[in-house]
Amino acid sequence: MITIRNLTKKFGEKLAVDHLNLEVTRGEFFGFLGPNGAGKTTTIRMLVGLSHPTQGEIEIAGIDLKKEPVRAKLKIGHVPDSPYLYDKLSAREFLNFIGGLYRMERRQIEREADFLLDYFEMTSWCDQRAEGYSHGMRQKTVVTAALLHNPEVIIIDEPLTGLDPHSGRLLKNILKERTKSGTTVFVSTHILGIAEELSDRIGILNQGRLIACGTVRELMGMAVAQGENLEGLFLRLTRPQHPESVLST
Amino acid sequence: MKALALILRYKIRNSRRVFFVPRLENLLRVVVNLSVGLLLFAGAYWFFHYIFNYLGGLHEIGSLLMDKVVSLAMLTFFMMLILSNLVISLSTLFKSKQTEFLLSLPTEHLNTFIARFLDNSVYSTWAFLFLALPLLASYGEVHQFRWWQYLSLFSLGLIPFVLIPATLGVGFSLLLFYLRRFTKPINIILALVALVALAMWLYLQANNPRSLSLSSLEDFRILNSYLSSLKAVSFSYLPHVWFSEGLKALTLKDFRSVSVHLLALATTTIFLFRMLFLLSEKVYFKGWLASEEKGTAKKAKERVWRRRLGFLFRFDPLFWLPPDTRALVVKDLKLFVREPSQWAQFTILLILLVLYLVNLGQLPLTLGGQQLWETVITFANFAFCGFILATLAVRFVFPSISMEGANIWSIGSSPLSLRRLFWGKFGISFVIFLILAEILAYCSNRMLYLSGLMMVLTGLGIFLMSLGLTSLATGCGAIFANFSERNPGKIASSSGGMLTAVLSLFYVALMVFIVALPVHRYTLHLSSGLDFSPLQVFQALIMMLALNLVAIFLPLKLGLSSLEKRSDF
Repeated sequence: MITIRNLTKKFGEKLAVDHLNLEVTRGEFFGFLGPNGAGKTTTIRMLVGLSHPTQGEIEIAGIDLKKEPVRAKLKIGHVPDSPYLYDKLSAREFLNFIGGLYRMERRQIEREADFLLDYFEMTSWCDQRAEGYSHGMRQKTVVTAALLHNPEVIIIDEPLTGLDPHSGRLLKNILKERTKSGTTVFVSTHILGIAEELSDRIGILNQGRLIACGTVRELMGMAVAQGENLEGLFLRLTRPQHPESVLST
Repeated sequence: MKALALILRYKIRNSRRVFFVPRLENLLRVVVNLSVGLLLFAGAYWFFHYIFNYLGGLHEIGSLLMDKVVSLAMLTFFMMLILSNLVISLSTLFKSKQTEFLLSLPTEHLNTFIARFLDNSVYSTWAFLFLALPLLASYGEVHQFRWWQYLSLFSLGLIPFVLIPATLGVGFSLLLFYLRRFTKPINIILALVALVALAMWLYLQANNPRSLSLSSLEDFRILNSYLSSLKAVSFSYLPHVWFSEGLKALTLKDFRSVSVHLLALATTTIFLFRMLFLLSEKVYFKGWLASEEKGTAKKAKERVWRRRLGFLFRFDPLFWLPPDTRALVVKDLKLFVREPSQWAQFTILLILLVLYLVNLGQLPLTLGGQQLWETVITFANFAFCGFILATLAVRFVFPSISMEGANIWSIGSSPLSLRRLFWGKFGISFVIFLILAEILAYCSNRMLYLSGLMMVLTGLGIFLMSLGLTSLATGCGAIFANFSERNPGKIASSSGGMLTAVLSLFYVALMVFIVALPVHRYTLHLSSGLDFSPLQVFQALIMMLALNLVAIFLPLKLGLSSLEKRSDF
């Protein structure tokens, strides 16, 4: 569903993403881990067409993102790390707007919006303007907008930002639920617990390079072999002066 | 098109709610804004009407002069509109969260471009309309225009006239960001600024101010021939010429000429729109990507030089300031230098000032014994300096507190009190402002060959004006602080900024009036023997003192107390 081939991004002389190769299949929950500045957000910006790769290709649901960006974007639901909302529009109006741009029918927008707003317990707020929303409510509105058109691929940068534990649980549940119906979820985070709990596979990015990739079980196996947990493995692999220890599987 | 219509519909809905909110405080704000706007409009209308009426009374050359005034005003507007469209587009088409959001949606980039281009045109143009509309309305009134003449003027003349510089300014900014992929933005902006300066210098040289001798002003024949010589250099391929010629033809009801000039405006607008959209399809998204992808790695060469010259950077010229104030000053200076929309506009204003000084130097101001003219020109220059200072204060000092933006919490929660922040902002602005103002005053006075006494007096006046205008802008900036807006241009053109601009201009006008009146009377006393009492100087001093006490202390007191009462951060 997401195919990344030889993806490279350079900012001047700095290599932000270094020849990344990755295949995320239909219905898979992929956790993208890495320390701050590892290149996660840069990769996500390239995946959603907000940044062009210096080299390499991206395919979303078999569509070349560079050649057909609009068609590819129709397949994606995206939640950025610092989302934008029109302050003077209510959550419902914002959803109507987003639904229209994703070419949804009016009735379909209403049905999906009602379901999602109710699910995220936003119904009593959804007709108030976003200027009065808390950080968590803004995040829930953006997540709702990303899920509205039932995208084939959901790409989320730091999903739990601003969410309380209850809302966080709701989000985790719906994302997991969506993968069961064939949606691919690509989540970038530096919170190990989320990746460990939800991911079918985890990729660890450090200094722009994918230094480890495998199922949770596989990575845990590697960690246990060294007498450590997933956190220990992550810290060891992403240590600044760590030797070449690529564990790609 | 469907997607564009949808984007525009929701954007309009969002914007409408910014202005029309059915709450008492917002209604009050709308009423205050409308009143200020109407006052400004009425004042400008009265001013232009007075000038046009006066010129209309000069039978031989009145209408010629009137047309020349309109033509020069439209040229100035045209240049300013290109610059404001260019500068504002840096933060609407490129450095904007909203643009990033729209670009992430499944719609063509052209739709995002058009939506943001329209935003940009509105942000850049509305202030211009506050001057252009009263100018044209008073011109029409003096020429007894009928409704259809006004309708043709505004719909077929003014709209294309506004859109042409909008397309040019945005076109420049598209190229600027596209070229950014190959060179640093500062190189491109400096090249652009140099180009504008060169063009303006050539234009002013072509107009040749030296051919206008002030001592011959009363000789209509010479003036007439001077105006004819200006006509020769009024390039007929510039939109301001089409507009003013069309306006003139509309006055004479010469429909052939009206159609030719208005058609020239309309077809040029359509052509430029087409070119801009073609250009945007080719370069907009690439330019936007370039604006997002700043090189983070410093070149090795630069690092080596920095290390070698490190001792130069170790000297701290601000060592005498308390550490927290020093930190604030350093942070503000760094942010200013690193924000292209700030320093680009500042550089452009400085270049215009240098051009003004250069041309002042070229005026034949020996004025053999003509005391009256000397006084008039001296105070015209004093007023001009005040006008420039007021513009700078509103544009750069007023937004300084709001510019703390979302990061105000870091100051609010730090040991630096808001009081200290306020005084820090005021102090930095005042020192920079005063240096700039005194340089401007000294240079322009030197160009005018003023006597030592007049130099000291205007220098003192400029000192007071710097203090008054900085206090007004800092105080009002704190009262109307908007921590959610990051664009300094938009903060300056908000309702609070508008009110500050009106108050500043009013303050400058009063200062000039209070200082000029006794000097004028003294000059008349010397030349025509009219009565003059030293008491008039004393009265002027008292009035000046009172005005400055109000202008300095009141805004500072209200601003500080308003800032300390705020709880929205």
